[in-house]
Amino acid sequence: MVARRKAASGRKPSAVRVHPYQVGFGDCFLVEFVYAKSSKFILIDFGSTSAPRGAKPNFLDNVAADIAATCGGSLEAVVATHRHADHISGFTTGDGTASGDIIRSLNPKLVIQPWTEDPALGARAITAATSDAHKAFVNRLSDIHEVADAVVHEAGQLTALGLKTNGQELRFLGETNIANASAEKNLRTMAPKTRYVRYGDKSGLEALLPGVHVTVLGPPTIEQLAAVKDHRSDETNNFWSFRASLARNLTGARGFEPLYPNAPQLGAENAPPWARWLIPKLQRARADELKGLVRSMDKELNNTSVILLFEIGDVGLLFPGDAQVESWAYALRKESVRKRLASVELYKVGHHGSLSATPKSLWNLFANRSTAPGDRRLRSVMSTLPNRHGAKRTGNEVPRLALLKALQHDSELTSTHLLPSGKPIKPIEVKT
Amino acid sequence: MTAQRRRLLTIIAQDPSIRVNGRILRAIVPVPFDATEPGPWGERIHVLDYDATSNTLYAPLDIGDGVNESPVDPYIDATDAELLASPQFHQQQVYAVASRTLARFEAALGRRLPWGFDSPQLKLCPHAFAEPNAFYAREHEAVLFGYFRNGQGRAVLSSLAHDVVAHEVSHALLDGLRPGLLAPSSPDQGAFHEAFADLVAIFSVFALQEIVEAMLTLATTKKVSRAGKGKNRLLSNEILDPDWLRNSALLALAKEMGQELSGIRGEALRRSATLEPTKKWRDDPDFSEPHRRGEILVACGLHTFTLLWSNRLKTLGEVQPGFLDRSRVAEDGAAVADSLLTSIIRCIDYLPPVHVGFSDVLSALLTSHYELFPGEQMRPVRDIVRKAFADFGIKPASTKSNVEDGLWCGPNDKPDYREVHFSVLQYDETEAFRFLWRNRDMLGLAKGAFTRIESVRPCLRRGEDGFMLRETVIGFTQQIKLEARELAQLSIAKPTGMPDEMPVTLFGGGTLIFDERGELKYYIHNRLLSANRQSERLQYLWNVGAFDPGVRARSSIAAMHRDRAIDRSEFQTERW
Repeated sequence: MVARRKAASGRKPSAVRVHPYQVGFGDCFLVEFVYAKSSKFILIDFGSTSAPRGAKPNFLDNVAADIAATCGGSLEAVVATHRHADHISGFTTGDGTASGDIIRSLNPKLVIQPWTEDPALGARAITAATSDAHKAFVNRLSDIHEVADAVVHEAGQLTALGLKTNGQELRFLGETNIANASAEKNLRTMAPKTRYVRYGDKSGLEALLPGVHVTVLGPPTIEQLAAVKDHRSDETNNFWSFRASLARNLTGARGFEPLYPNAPQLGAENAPPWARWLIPKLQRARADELKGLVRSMDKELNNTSVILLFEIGDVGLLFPGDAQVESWAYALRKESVRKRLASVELYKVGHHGSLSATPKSLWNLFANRSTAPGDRRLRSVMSTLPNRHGAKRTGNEVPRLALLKALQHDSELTSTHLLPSGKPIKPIEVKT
Repeated sequence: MTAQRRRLLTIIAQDPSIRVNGRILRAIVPVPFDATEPGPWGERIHVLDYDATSNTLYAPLDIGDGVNESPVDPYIDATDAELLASPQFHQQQVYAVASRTLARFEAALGRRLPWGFDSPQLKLCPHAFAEPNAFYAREHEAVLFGYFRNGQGRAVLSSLAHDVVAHEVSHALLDGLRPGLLAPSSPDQGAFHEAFADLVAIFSVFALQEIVEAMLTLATTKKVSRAGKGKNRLLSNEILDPDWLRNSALLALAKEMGQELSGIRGEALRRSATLEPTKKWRDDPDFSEPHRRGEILVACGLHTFTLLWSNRLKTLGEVQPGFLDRSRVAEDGAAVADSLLTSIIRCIDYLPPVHVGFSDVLSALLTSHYELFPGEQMRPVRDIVRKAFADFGIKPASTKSNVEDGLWCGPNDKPDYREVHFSVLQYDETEAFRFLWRNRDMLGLAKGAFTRIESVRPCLRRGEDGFMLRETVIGFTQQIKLEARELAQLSIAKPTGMPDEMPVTLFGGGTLIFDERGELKYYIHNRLLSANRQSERLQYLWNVGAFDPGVRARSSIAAMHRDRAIDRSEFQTERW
């Protein structure tokens, strides 16, 4: 592998420029590989669930137009790390001028998505080559959308009942997880080739980016993840049936029909005095339960993120999407991977700077961490918006302050939340 | 003496999936008398049927107050369909099972028991929300039972499962008895709350003869529906093998129990019944996770159960060569389960109030049993308990007893009883504290620590000679707050990576058991200044994120159960 990397180095790019876009709470990175004659571009994620301050409702269309202009009307590839709205909503199509239409018109030659998006694994697909475990996992991801949809409805009810804060937080989490059929279809069909990748797969990017070696470090497969967690198959089946029942159940409750509509009831609105004190307590308990569930589902989808390591000579650039520590666990077990991660010079901070998406054992591997400015000092780039996810009081604020401190101390950080909105962000250049 | 008044109420014996001759297996069970309002709403339990998902308040069930109106069992003649479709029957189910669980605890401990909150009444919500979870929540003074729809759209209710109701009410009772056990401590303590509730639930169900008969039928014919009354009354003597009882009988029931509820109840019975005795689990990182670890304790309990049952069956005698009488076998099984249930509940009084380990549980079990049956005649039972735990590599915490292996001991020296009035000590926390203060050096209390009495509990039980014995159980805790940098002064290791200025609270505590003459008979102490144990504990808590901001000072059973259902794994040391 080392030999191959050297052989390709003759026509390798001289630099890589990462163009971060201000999308509020979301990710959008245009990555430019600078070659002697011209540059080649790939787009990694394009989505937002919360607009930056002062942005117009169609701000994503403007971002798409800027991408089109910067890349000169042509993209080599699009990477949609995972299916969360804050990573793919920009791919939504419309009347031909929407952000997703614009990206489509850039004619990417390749789209990369995680293996969990493979239509061959869909609920109705029957493919002998795919294992039941994988199909079940993908169905479970569909369940997540249904649950999210139901949660958004139920959040509305909780808000109406006076639980405003809980309702708002639930709605935000729920909306991030709701399916986006238009963006998903666009991603499936916008390029002549689509690759659904897992740990260890070839990305297909090398053919498009001469001199660049690309390694897929995630997401792991079910079997790979099981090797980390020592799951037993019967357990995972129970786990899936639990998820499925959750989805059915919450979806069934969408209309908030009582389980026994014909049984004798007392009006909850005019409850007798002995029941009045318990009702708001139970509603709060319900909201807490939903939050716990939606958070765990949210994490599940994050863990389907494609993790890409780009290597040009000895320089590494790492784009892990929103992968969490559970997904990282598999790659980080490999000594060979750990060695190569040491050479990372640009790190796209995982999951908008949340507490569990930059595993400490990964961070500690980066040999270019330094407190002193310098050419080879680690560059980190983060796209985030505070006060959308979690809270300081519960120790799960995004971005996590302890991580932010480390990023500022030991790397040269560019973060969208620290820059004025509405102004273009200077690209980050890494010489190779 | 006035006879205890009881109501007879119909319940679903285990859950709607256990059927005999195609019908849901039911039991008509005695429930301690309570002058109920509609709910049922009694002295200690209030069923309040609000569904937060659909914002519905179901009308309460009236079973007659038993004073002005005759007590009634409204569902004695109901069809299966009526039982399943009536929310008011579900109110009856949770009321009856919870009341029986409470009564079972009170009978075993010989006193009235407090809940872990101020109100005298635990609230039960049998259709609390549309979600596959059920949990006790101290902050709501309630047990909330969720429901969900299965693949066929049929409602599955956690409140209809006997074991789930008994499990949750056991959490509530344990919290009332030992509030400190929900605090973050060691992996053993995290596992204990869950394992204890599992064991009470399992043995409460096994104590019903109907269930044991169904279990035997399942194991021998595979299908309950084939075995009618009067048929198939003999069992081959192969059942005398404890491994058969475990691998066939227990497992048959575990498999039959509503699989749809496995996300709620976990699979303690199935998993623990199939867990072969091993001493290697301590080296397996999987068993550092509380739910998995709890299965070890449940497995020790089931292992004890099958060994005791098998021993008892060997004395039963064959009705035909090679065959035993099925109903006698079932009767014996239910009796063994009931007796084990008593021991498990009684052992709570013999536990330290903080930092419970599995070894403490074993010493507590042995001591509580010895106190009930001190003679040599019942020693073989304790030998079986010792063996069942030893097979899983668990040794008693107490090593110094000169009475019998593993029993707790008294204090090292004679305490100073001067100016301490035993008659007052039996109920008064100030007097209990006076005793503690006077004897602080002899009892090995940490100096400079904040010390408080957790509870003073009079305890009445029948002695071997038939006389009633009045003992007193006093629990105390000690705590000290310091910064991580100061740990070294106490020879306690600061966890790797913990900042110097991190505030740390160390806990210790003990249980004092006084006999009827006021002599301190047992002293069970987890020392606050035990450097090795505190160092290990702090490192563990640091690793699992117990010092993260926002982490609750005590575990939430809701989150514990949800995590069990969705098999959440955390890599706490990797987090920021």
